[in-house]
Amino acid sequence: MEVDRNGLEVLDREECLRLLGSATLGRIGLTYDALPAVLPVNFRLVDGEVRFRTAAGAKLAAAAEQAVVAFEVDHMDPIRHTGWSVMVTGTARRLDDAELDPDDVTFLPRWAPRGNGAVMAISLDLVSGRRIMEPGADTADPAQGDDGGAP
Amino acid sequence: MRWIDSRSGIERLDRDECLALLAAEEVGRLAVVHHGVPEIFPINYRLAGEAIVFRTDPGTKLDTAGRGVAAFEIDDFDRDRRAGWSVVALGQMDEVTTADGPLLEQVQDLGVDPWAGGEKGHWLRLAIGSLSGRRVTPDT
Repeated sequence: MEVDRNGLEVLDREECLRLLGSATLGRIGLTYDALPAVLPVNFRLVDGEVRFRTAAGAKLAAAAEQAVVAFEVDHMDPIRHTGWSVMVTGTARRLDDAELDPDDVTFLPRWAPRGNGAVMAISLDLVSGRRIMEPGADTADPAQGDDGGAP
Repeated sequence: MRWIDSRSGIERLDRDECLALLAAEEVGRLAVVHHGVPEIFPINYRLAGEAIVFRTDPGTKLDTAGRGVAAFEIDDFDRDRRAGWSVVALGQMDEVTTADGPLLEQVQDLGVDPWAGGEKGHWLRLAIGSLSGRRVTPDT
């Protein structure tokens, strides 16, 4: 298992893709009017790319189109102070209707009550991930099992 | 007063509510533009007044400090209820050093305790400029 300088487990691409496929909420980071911007989007991993709706309106679509963007998914456990995150760097593009399987669009999660913007896709050019392990998890003897958090 | 966007049906949160949510959370995501490419990092943070404070080691986040604006995001969504909220802050990010006098001691006393390892001996402070929040509730 590869560990980085902060003691975080380095996740390989396969594990990153598995985690991306298990999530539906991510955050897109992009440059907007020369400033960094970040906002949550519901997404799905479809055909090897991240797909999401621009329910926030056309501004996001215009800013992201053909731009290099960041996309992040994470899961944090506030009790155990563990978690993982996956970061994607890729180019965003707007999907045209011909590329959309109507069934897929139906299943793209959309939480905002109204508004139905374009469907965007982000290519998975760079994918990296980290996992915060529980203290001692990397050295624990699996035969000992979980001590159930005994003091 | 609730402010509902007529086009999307999303409620806008006012600044006080955004600050209250920032004060209650402990993990958020920092977005910076580094060499022209946007990057996002999950971080442990504390809110101090109207600033996001966190610790880091030398790297992209520290490189970006003092060179412009960073964005910061927190959210909480309930998949089953299809409800949730998000808050996005934008502001100048700088490293707090001994040159800042008592401010360094103040941020060090905040108790920012990163879950990840590493020394994280550098303290960064994102002074919140613009702040926006959104909430989606079922059947709004």
